[in-house]
Amino acid sequence: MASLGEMLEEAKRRTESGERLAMATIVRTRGSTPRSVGARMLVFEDGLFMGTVGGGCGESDVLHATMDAIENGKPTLLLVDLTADEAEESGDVCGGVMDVFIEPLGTR
Amino acid sequence: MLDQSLSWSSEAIASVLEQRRFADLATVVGAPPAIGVEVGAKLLVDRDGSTIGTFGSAELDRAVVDDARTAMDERSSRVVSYPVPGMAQPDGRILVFHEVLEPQPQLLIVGAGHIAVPLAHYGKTLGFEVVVLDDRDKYANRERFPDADQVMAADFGGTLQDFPLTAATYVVIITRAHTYDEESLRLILNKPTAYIGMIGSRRRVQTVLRTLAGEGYDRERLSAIHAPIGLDIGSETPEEIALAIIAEVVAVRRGGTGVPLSKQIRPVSMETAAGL
Repeated sequence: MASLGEMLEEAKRRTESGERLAMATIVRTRGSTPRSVGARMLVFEDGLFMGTVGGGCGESDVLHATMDAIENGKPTLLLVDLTADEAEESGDVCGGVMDVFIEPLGTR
Repeated sequence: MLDQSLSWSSEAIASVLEQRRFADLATVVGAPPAIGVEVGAKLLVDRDGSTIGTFGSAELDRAVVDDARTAMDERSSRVVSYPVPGMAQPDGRILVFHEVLEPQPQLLIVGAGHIAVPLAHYGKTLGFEVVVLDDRDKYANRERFPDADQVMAADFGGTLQDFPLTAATYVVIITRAHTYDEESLRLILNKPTAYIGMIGSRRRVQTVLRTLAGEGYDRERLSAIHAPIGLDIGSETPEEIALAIIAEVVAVRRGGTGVPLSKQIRPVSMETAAGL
């Protein structure tokens, strides 16, 4: 499990070599979510990432939104709804809701 | 790279983590457009109240620093909403994520004798990063300390000279002779630590403290040393002594008094509590 310190070192290394990346952090949760406030992912231009915000539950939505943020350079607060109706489509069953803050790093 | 605003790539945040400083990293996660406060802006608030960075509004900075104090006291990260500063009819609010960066405490055990073994184990169980140091590799080795994060068989003086002590380091000095205790204390007394405890009889402790006072070490710092080490639980075995030590370490960390809960002054009488 990558610590914040390790993620920041990696982010620094990559931004220094001109790469673009973005950080996604869970800032608020309501109901049951697989990870809690402070859990985060560092996502790279090629779609690979460090860390996790929940695996099956909502992580792919976060990943897509984070890739968008890398492209358009805009920070955003994403609401990820894991309640039953949404879950049926993707197969995630987690019951809760979480706010994920996505912020691009590196040169814009 | 222009770094007027605090960002993830700044030295400040890396240094807070490295030095194990307790801090609140506050980030604007939502804000109305064109108000002079940017989404993503950060303010780092140290537990001691000092700050790095700004949101671009002194009023907002102040309000966030106040809430940061509370968040750190309660040890819980949270999103707080603030009014837009300087607007009579604010349209929308500013959302700030207070992320409490609580450092993992470090237990530095100087002296790897009998007490150190259970002490290292209890430290790990209680969430400390455990480091053990002794100059004898017969004692400071992986077999005796399988779950310690670091085991160092090296010279006390040389090692402590370079060891990165932090405000979240709890130092327990339990070496085999008071000369090693003294040597170790000399090297750590003037550096930041959360706690220094030293084992020994009252006589041994007095000898060491008098020697150091005689050498000119600050008396206040000397009297802050927890010696003889540990809470009074009548310990006899190495495990019991280790328990008394780790209990004192936790009490210092969490601000507990070490006094039995049953002996503390209560606002309600025993009769009320018993439902009479």
